[in-house]
Amino acid sequence: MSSKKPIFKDSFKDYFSGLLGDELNDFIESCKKPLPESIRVNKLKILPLDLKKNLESKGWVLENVPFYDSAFIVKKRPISLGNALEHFLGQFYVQEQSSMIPPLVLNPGLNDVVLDACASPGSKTTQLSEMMKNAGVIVANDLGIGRISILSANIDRMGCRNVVVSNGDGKRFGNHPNFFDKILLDAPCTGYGAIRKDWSIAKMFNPKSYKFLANIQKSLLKTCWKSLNPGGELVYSTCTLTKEENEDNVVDFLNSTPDAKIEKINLKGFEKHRGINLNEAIRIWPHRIDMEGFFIAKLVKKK
Amino acid sequence: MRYSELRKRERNKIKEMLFEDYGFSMPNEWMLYYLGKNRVWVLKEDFFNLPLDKLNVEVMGFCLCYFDFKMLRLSFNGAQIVGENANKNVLEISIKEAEELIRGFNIEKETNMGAEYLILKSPAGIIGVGKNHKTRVLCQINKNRRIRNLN
Repeated sequence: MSSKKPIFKDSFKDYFSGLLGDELNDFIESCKKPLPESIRVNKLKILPLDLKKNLESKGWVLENVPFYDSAFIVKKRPISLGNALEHFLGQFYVQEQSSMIPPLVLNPGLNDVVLDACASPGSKTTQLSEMMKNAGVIVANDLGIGRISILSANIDRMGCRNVVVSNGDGKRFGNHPNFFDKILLDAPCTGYGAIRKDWSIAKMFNPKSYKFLANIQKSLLKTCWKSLNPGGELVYSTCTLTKEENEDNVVDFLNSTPDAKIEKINLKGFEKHRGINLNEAIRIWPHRIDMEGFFIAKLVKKK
Repeated sequence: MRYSELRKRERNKIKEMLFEDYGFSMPNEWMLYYLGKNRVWVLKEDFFNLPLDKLNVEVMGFCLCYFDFKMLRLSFNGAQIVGENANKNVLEISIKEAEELIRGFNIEKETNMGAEYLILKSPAGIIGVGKNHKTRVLCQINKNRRIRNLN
């Protein structure tokens, strides 16, 4: 944690009170609690039960993630996650539970051409690669050159062989119309869903930031959409909780894009965790479900 | 990123060295390219359907090995793939020895094997290659990848 105590500004409380009403205090309290640690098993290298058995023999205590049979919540561990030999070998990836949802929703086919438009550090890219069993192609793009080396290192460690790592603004994919079968747009955001990981995020609350980022997200959504094949699917996700960066962006996009429609996400355990006035999307509030705050919507391009 | 396909004699030499050193038969469909000096990568045919010249590609596929005509050193991924089907020059090491190596230490061990680089196989999995010094195995794990402590 980067600060000893989370500081919630009045503007932060006012904003979320507008969205949550009576639940505000529960939300604030949940933000003070650390996130449960979770790992995703890399089935390219090992089966989940084999890894579980191996780690449990070393004193780890693991609990199944209810919605994903390849992931575990770590209740007890003898060493830090990143220092485990199994981590070095790429047998697991340290990944927050809610961050595992967008690739599950995108559900790529084995021979699909997939774009991960904002890919670093690579948790979702490597998950997609594992789901595709190293077949097909994933273009994993990121804007920050410094973030590319982290992305490449994770792809290498996890043994992903179907990935092309590219560096540049995700907006340039608009120059390649009707190219990808599936797109994951895990857009850059204010990150208010990740306060439990880093309390300093709460201190930085500022309407200017989320308005600024909402505009970037809108233009990324528009340009990535151009590169999606008719009949293709785009999953839009963020790890933030403002309405402007999530539901408002999706609704604006649907209103201005005639060939786009939203598809309801049916994922076991998330039936009640719906977007604000957007029942098709998933919105994870950390006080309602013990995870990082997240938003996920699935858009389909009409044929 | 500049990439160039290996010439036929380079490809044949790699195939020959993989077979001689590890008894591994390289699949004919592997497309071998240089990405960076002496670094050989395996690319998928599908990649060439992408507008690679416009994507500003940093990395693609997986790194197989460092190669010049005198030596071949498998990468971490290369060792894992080749090691699964290798029948010689694979050194069995203990978990304790694997943990020493991933921290950057060499291990004292009689090898009795001929190859310059041995594939290191621990009960947890293949951890890459080590340089064979007959009574010692030298750690070849990239410094960025090493674990600083095991606590």
